[in-house]
Amino acid sequence: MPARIIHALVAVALLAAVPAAADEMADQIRKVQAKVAPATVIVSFYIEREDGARAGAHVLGTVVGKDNLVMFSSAAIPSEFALSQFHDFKVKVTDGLDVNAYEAEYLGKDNQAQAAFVRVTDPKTPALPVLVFNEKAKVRVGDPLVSVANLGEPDGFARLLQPVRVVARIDQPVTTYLCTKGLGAPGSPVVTLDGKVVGIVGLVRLNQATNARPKWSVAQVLWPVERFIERLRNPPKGGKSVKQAWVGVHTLTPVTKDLAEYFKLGEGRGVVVGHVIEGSPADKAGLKSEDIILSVDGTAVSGTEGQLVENFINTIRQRDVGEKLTFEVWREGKTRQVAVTLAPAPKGPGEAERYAIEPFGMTVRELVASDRMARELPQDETGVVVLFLKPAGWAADGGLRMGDIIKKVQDRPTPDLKTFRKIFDDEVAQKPKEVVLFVLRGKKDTQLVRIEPRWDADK
Amino acid sequence: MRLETCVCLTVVAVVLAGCTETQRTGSVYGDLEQATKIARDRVYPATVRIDARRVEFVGGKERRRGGSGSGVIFDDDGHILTNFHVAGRAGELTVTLFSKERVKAKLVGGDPWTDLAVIRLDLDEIREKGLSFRSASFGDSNQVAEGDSVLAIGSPFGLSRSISSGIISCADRILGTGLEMPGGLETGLFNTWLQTDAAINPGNSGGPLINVLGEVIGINTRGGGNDLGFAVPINVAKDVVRQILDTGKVKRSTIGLTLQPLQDLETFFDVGKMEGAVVSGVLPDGPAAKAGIQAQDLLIAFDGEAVRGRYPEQLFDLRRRVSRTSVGARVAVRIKRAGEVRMLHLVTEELTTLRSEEQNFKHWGLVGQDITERLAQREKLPDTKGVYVTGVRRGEAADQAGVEDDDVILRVGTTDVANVADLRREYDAATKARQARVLLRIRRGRGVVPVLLKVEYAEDTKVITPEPADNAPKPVRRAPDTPPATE
Repeated sequence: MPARIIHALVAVALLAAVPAAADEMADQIRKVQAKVAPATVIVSFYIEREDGARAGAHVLGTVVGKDNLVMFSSAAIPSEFALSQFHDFKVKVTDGLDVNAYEAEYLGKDNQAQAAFVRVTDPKTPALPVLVFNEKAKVRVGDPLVSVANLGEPDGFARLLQPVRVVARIDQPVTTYLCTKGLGAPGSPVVTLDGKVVGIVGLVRLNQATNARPKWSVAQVLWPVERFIERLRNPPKGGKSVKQAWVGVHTLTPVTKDLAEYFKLGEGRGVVVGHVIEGSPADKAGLKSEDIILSVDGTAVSGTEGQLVENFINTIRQRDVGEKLTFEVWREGKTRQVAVTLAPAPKGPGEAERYAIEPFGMTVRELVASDRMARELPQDETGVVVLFLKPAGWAADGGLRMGDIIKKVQDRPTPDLKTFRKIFDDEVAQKPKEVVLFVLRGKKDTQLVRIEPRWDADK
Repeated sequence: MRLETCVCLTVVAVVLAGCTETQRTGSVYGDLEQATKIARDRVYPATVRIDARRVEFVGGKERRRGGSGSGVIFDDDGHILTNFHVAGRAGELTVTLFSKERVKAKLVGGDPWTDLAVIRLDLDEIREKGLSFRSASFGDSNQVAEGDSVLAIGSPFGLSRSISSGIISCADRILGTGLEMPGGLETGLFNTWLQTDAAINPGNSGGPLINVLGEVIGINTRGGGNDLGFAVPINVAKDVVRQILDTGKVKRSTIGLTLQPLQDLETFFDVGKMEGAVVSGVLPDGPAAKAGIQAQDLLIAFDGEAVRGRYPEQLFDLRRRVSRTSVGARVAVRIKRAGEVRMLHLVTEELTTLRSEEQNFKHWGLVGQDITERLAQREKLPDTKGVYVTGVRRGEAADQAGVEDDDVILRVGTTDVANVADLRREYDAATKARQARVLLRIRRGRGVVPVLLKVEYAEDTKVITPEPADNAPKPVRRAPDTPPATE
């Protein structure tokens, strides 16, 4: 107990000993505030869920271009929603305590850069001050920084300036910096005490345990400017997400030190390819399961055992669709060069096309590659996925469940959404007494589901 | 609201009145009590408590487990019917008779699918000790109806010789098709259940549910609160008992398809209300698939007998009927597809369980089993070749090398291994040669990867676990685990 009191006293003494420095810092923070705060805005929009419920969002954005280009965190735009579900983008500018909202257009996002963009389209928009970013973060452990955050609407989204310090540099899989508590929400700018913008607040997955028993969590970090600076010059268009480059290898495992010795890989490490997805760039390039990828374009796949796979994946993701990479591949004691042309990643559920069948209270969507992966379905599995069912709607009452994959309508196979639309519309045109679907539920259970439309009652 | 309250009060009043009336006259209720006493006298002395000890693997480590349940002696040879989950995997069995005397017993055979097992008293020990026992007789569970008075006898929470009473709440209850028992064994696919409100608690398992004639009509198997207990009907058990007494095991056929009730789909198939059961799925490469049966066919006859599968309850009987066909038999089936009736022939295959015997590969730090047909289907493995990893000991070779549960070992060094016996041979050879590095080829999900075990052969340290001084059964069923035999 006495020990603790002594510690506390020392801390107080230290604080008291540096009043001059503290004042200096206060001045600097105030200068940063004057420079940075006016270049931040609030980006607002709402997401309309399948059931019609709306969820509003207000996130801090930064004005990054003279033509009123605003960047915010891509985490605010969850991938499982379709573009058509995002509505009413506005940029809110605080003028004293008045908040003025201006129409904006959603441009798209780049998950790899953790950046999403809107452009203010309202002609009445005043010229917004632009925040200029450094080309590189150039921060070191110990550096004091200021992170911008904001209060809520009742307080006019007032900006807060929170001093933080860099406490660690994380090198793998990409360089980021851990800071002391006080970083703002994802997407908000982080600035040095002399007013240089070094990055935004980003999110990374961190393993805070061992390789054998990992414990992953999502942590807020300083996401350095070099991770997204290119995107500022070349923002996405038309609401599209920037396509991630894709190789098509699965079940990757690290080459352990022991395995490297055993296979006599020398200093090399790399990753083992467990499975090559049919028709993927890797498949076309002739990669096989059990191949070991030693290097990509001459750069060894390296890192600690727990980071090898993450590092390899990240190396690929940093590259662009269409680029040609050369893998150095070890197979059965021999090393060979394999040229792989990166393809765009297959569609995710959010990009899948949808079809809402109003009277039945059901919305279906295309079956995409990630569904097959997630549910361990064969690669040639076909059908359409039940995305949403209105409670007590015809389809829900018939026993259909969200996630079911509809494979047949009556007796007719529905391998894709286009065919499904045609057949379903065709089958229900005559207002039948029942519609029988053949569905796949879960990973392998199939069954018939009978829907009894209430053509007259529900009008 | 007011009206409902009135109704309740009225009911209570009537019941109370009924009671007083009975006590006064001793009519119908007195007869029931009399019958109950007779029933008790017939079965109570044949009911036993069973204490079982078994060795199992948890996280790759060998553990000795103990537990207790109930059972009923059903013949003069000392055969006892109980639950599989009580005695089916036991190494050591101790039976406590009605007379409170303890006798050793041995497992005769078990059947996880119906959760039943038969064990046998050590008759030599019975003779040596000069003990005697009684046996109970089986009734006909097809005659059981809702409302029948029943008694449950057993050892709830280890409290031997407990009787509870109630009625049959439902004579053909279904509990779904996804039932499992500890250890990951599937169960309950071939029977409906007798539901009773007689108290059934942990430890009642394996004990008899009897009618007022003193006949065993079910084996209490599931329960544990809210007056909801479930017994396997004795007619299901009779068949199982016969097979176990004949061959020591229960053999079942599978035809590799899943069924769905016809209810509400009769218009779609254009059939009568009671005509057939819907084939909802066909397992790839199974007998049905080979015969050309497809999902969305209607099964209308099996082996020359009409199929009735309108309600889910009927499907359990249907499955049992199919499973009783002899393994490898060629069976005619009639199906209806797109309005057309077809006759097809299929050849039944033997039904396997998910689990087979686990084996410990000590120096490699892993436990594995053979891949049964059933396991291959569930895990979507291309075939039954290889060894399925069921446990990896933390910190030991396999764990360090990144081997995980559910991995399949396909090859050791340059030799393919098809089953546990193959793996054992390779393991023994590697161990004998004190091989420090062992390369395994492993299937994980859809992928195949190499892993390298770094094996250490430190002199085996013997851990001596003293036998418990008092071998007496513990009073409470959920006794703490006995210490592991080796660490």
